[in-house]
Amino acid sequence: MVQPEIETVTAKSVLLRALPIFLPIALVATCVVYLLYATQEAATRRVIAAGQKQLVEVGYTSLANSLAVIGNDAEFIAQDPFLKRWLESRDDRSVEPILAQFQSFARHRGLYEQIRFIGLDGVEAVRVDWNSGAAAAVAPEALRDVSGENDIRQGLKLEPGEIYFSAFDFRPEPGRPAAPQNASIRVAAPVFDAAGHKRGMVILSYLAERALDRVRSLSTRGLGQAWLVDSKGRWLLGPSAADAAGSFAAAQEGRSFAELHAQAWEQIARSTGKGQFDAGGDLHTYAAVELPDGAVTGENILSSTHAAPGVFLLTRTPATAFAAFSRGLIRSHVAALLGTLLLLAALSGFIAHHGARRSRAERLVRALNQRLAKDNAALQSVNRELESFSYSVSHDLRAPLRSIDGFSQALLEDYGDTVDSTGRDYLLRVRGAAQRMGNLIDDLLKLARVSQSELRDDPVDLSLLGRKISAELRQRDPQRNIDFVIAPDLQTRGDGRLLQIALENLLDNAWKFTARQPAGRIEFGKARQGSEEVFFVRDNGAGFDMAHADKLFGVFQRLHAVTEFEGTGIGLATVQRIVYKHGGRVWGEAEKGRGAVFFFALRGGNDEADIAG
Amino acid sequence: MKPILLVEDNPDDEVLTLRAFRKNNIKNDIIVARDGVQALDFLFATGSHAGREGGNPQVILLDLKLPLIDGLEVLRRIRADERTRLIPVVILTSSREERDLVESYSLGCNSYVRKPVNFDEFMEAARQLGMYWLLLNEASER
Repeated sequence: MVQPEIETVTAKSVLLRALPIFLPIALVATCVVYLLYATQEAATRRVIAAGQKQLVEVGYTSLANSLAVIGNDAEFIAQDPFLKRWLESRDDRSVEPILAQFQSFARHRGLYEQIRFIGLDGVEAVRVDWNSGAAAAVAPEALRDVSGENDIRQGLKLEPGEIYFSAFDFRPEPGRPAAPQNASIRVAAPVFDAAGHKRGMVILSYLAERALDRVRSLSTRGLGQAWLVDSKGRWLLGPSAADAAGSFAAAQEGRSFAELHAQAWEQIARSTGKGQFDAGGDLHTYAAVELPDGAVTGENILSSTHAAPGVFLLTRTPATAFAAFSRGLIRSHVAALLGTLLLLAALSGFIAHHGARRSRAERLVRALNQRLAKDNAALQSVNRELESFSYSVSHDLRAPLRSIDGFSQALLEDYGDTVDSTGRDYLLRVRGAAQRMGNLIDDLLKLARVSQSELRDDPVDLSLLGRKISAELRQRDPQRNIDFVIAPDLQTRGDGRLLQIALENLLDNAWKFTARQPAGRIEFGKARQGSEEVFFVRDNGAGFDMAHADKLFGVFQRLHAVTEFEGTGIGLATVQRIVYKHGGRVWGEAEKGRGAVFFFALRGGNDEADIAG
Repeated sequence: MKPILLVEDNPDDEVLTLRAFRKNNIKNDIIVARDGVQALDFLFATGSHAGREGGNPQVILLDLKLPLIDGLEVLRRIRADERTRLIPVVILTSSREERDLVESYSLGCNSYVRKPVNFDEFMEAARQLGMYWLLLNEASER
């Protein structure tokens, strides 16, 4: 059977198959990865923003506390009983205790560069300076008239309960070199005597550097970098050291926060309190450091209920930082996506390849099945044709035979006396020939039918068949003296009809060839030959010469003259075909004059069983 | 005595059958129909046998392979008609096909005999037929 043409599995076909599997999943995977990235990016942004807020919060709290503390300190000093007593006595000698008090205070607090008491005339009355770790009282000769200074003027105007805060600046003290350590905030509180008259003010110069240090320490604690900017947008603590230093005096020309980040500064300067906003991609977080209640600033004198911020604590996360982080995130996500897509591609290819192979196999099977069905149909139609052919052959061939035989006989009977013995002999031969031809036709038909039919597989009782056939034979020739020995338990599986024909032929042969025996004996049974079980039909008839045994089963082959024993020579050929069809084999053994035995085994030992017929 | 209807298309078989009956002293008239149409014409007194005298035959010997209308169809029609339903029909044919036998009996033939090649056997068959159907069998008077 020719193999049907099915196209092979090519790379292209696999690719075409793989694409519809791969593309949708790849699309979904990309979307998922993108979503993951976006979510993570947003989350990280939020985390950063929250971190900045926390940073600013901590810094703010710290600064606000510091301011509150120094405010309290100013009040504390202002209400010093020693001071009040000195004011009562106005004795120059009683300045000592105050000095001692101021010194002690300065030492303990360690926050102030100067602690002064200024009289209403604007002249320093008591002064303690902080010199490299020690509080030193300043000699009366060194006391100055500072009435011209803004701080002093503002301070002397204070009402009870008010505290003056100067701006955060780097104004160096006269006589002192300008240095970053000179950042200071001056806090002043009014002094009233027992009678409630204002007698002057105390003013403390807070070492603002400490505040700056606190803000700086935020970064060392891992919270990040925060900066301080004054109310005009100038750096108090900035990203580079230069921003905070003595260049302050130059108002940070062109480099102040307000100038560098004008858009952001605009928003910050407008607001109070805390906030976070995005300006041009940069994230700004800020807190306005409020002055405590009762504070009055150096810029404007406002009512105590409204405190304008003196400084802004802020952080700025530039867009580039986000960008850098995003890039990293994108890289990792893209890598993950590529890995996934690669895996998907491989998987799709694998599935597609197998799918292609499987569908090819299925198509092959289908094509083969179709071919098989066609072949089957062809075979069946051939079989049917053969059957109708056999039928008409048998019928149509027989009719003329009947005529030949009939009229020969009629001739013999009706005109016998006009025909001599030779003539009668001829007529007899004619009749015999017709008879034989009839038998031949029958036998050939049987043989043909054996090949055509489908082999059934039923249990067959050979003993029963044997008995039936032997009974028929007896009935045909009742005068024959034959002994039939049929074993009782001969069972097998196969086609009952065909096996009957085979057995008929074998027993008929035995019957024929024992015709001359006075005491004929036909035996049908089973025996064991080696490892297998075989059936046999044995007779004690004429037998045959084993030298010609190979001709036994040929069609029309006979080992005896027809004058000795009748027969068409087809019987054994039929038996062989039937036995072969069952997957078995048949053979015969004999001795001339002593009888013959035919053995047959069904199923097993026959490679030709697979070949039809 | 009633006639015998022999429905046979083969002229040789016809001659042999008639001879066999003669040899066996069967004296009934034997009407021969050579195809299905003639057979039915005779039975129902139509066509070529229109207006014939006499009633039904004693027995019908029917071959299966007939031209025009074949044997089984003739049998069907014989059995289908009230007038002829009870006539004994013997199928006398050379066919050994199982299906013909089954079909014939299904349609209601009374006997199925195969024509043997051997003329002796044929004679014997004819004699037996004659014995049985003509002498022994009780057929309906109709």
